[in-house]
Amino acid sequence: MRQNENAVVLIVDDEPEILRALRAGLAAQGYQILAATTGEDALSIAGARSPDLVILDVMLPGAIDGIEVCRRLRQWSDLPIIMLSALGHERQKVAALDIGADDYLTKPFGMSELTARVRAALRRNRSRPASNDLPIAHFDNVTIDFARRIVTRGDEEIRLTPYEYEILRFLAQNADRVITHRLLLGEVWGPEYVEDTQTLRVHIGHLRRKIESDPARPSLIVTEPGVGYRLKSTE
Amino acid sequence: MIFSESRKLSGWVFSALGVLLATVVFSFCRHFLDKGQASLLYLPLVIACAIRFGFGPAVFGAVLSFLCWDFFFLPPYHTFIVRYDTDWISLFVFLTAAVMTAQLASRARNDAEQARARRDEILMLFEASESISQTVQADMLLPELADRLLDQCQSSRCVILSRSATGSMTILTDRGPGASPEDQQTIVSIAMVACEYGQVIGIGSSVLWRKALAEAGLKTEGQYGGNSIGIYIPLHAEESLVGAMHLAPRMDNRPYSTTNERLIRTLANHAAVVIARQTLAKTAAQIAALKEADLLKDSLLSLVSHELRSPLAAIKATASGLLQPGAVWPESATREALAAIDKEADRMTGVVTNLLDLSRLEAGAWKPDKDWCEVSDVVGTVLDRLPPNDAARVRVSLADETPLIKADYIQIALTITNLLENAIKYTDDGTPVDLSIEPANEGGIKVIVRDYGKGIQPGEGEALFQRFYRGAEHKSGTVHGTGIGLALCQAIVRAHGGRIWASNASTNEHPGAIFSFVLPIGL
Repeated sequence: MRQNENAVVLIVDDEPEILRALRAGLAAQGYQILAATTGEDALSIAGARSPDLVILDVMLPGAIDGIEVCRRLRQWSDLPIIMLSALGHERQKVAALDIGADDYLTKPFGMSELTARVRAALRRNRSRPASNDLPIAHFDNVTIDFARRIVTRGDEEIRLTPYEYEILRFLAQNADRVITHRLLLGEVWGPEYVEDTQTLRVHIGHLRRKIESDPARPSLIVTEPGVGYRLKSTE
Repeated sequence: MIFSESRKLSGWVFSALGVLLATVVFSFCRHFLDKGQASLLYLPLVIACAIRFGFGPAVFGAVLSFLCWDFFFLPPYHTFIVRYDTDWISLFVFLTAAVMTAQLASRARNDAEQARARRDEILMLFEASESISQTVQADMLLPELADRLLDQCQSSRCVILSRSATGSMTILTDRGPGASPEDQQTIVSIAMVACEYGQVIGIGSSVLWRKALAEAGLKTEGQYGGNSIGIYIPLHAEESLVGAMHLAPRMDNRPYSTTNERLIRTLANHAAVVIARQTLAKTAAQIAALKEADLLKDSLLSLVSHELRSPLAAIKATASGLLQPGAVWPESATREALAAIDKEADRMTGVVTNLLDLSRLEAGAWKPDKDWCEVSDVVGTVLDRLPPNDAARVRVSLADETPLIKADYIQIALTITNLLENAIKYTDDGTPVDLSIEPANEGGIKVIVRDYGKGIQPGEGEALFQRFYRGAEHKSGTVHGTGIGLALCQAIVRAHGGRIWASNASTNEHPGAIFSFVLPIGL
């Protein structure tokens, strides 16, 4: 937990109870906490104090809601953003992820889940400059050799179609991050195919059959219901 | 009426011709008949006229006979002079007898005619009420009644209005060739005046209709002047004003006859009863809906009181225990207490989430957000999110090829989760739960959750899916439940155009309950 000591987390939520609980929970893990209750405050604090991570509620009072805060932050910063949403706000959640939020949690959630997400997001951010250059990535017993475009499971080479490889590459380079259907389709097939979720389902199904040890209960490519996919790295 | 005019005229003509004919016949018979016996020919004629044509033609015939007799058969002939005084006596006795007989006969005739008219009227009323009582559809009663009136009274339009407790009036039916939405507002205003005064407008009450027109803001001249306003009758039923009926003037512009009026009043009473009955039925339906809501509220209250209060009580007790000043808790006990709070909060979250989901679904506020789903993928997500101990009990069997379906991923996951949780909750630890996904015969996919418990009670299959219903043996049991889960599953499956049902394993297999649902491809 040593690495947490210097990390500064900005929590944006209009409910004082939630704010207090999150502040206490994260501070106990060694993070420094900043807090804001409105979108305006969040933007000015983020500008002045440059936090390492933002936890942002989708619903905020006033003119600037969570999605707008996320959009404006993304204009000048790629700091990790974790969205919080209440049940039933799936569309806002997807909208936030589409414009660049890193992760989301649905209220109510456990503190351990939040801290796990925070840790993963911070780690990802630290290693980001290097990750694209890394020639080889490991996920469980699956190894991806980006330079030679070769994927192996155990010692066995897996033959992937070009689309399957592109999906896997994009997910791997954003490991542990929720990738929305639109993002994935836009990246792999191109911007004119962002609505073609049927194609995506089929290819994900094929890919899982090739790389998962139990395709019926995927442990690598995890579905985020109604949102997208996430490639789980082993922590 | 024109027919009866000509009939009246023909009476006079027949009477005159009859007398003439009788005179000619008698002139041939005068050799062997006494002059006094002429009355024998004239009198039947007068009676016949009285019976056939009434009093007037009969008296006319009598006077004519009197004159003819005098002129042709009483000496001196061909003058009106009478030689013998006894002849005067015969003449006047004849006249008196003829007139009296005519009067009697014509009265009998009038009575018969009136009786016939009454019979016709009663028959008409009977037919009208019969046809109304035979109308099966409640909403066709008033139009049928209006049509009867239009037909019988030669009217061009009949409007029936209902009146609310506040006095506002609504048009229930507007029939006839003159029906048009244009002047309905005028009709409503005049009908309101009729109701306000509680009197009929248009039959013998010209003062009232002038007043009504003035209050409705209309001039008494012009289109609505004179009697062209028609008739407005307030409708009473069970001592309250339930509406009004309007009948436009007759198409031939003649006033309504007394027979017409009687029919109108009778059918107006019918209409009043119909309206009152409809109002009662509506009130009864509202009361039934309220009762249903009340019942629901009761079961919701008992659910809330139990399923929400008990975890709340546990949380409150544990948290306040931890906060107690001066209390010394060993580290392990503190952790245990906190874990209990965490677990109870999860339980409450489950109840509240299900409750909210169900109300959102039932209010139509949670429409399926359909996208292509691979159900095996949904199953993976569901198993991933079950507690590991529970997930380990689930045996999954996936058909090799299941079609992609267009469905709401989250809702389908919720449905499968609820079915699995139910199966796990209501069966013994360690018994397996089978989950199988296969292509449905009718296209789409079929999901089956089978447990190895006691199975469902006979006849309980449908009721299980009702909100807040809990299996009879579980009502007082130790297993927590809200009776929401299956209702939620049903609401979701139905919103996807699929169906869900419960059954028991067949007798030659290991007993257990089987919950199945089918989802269409959903294009």
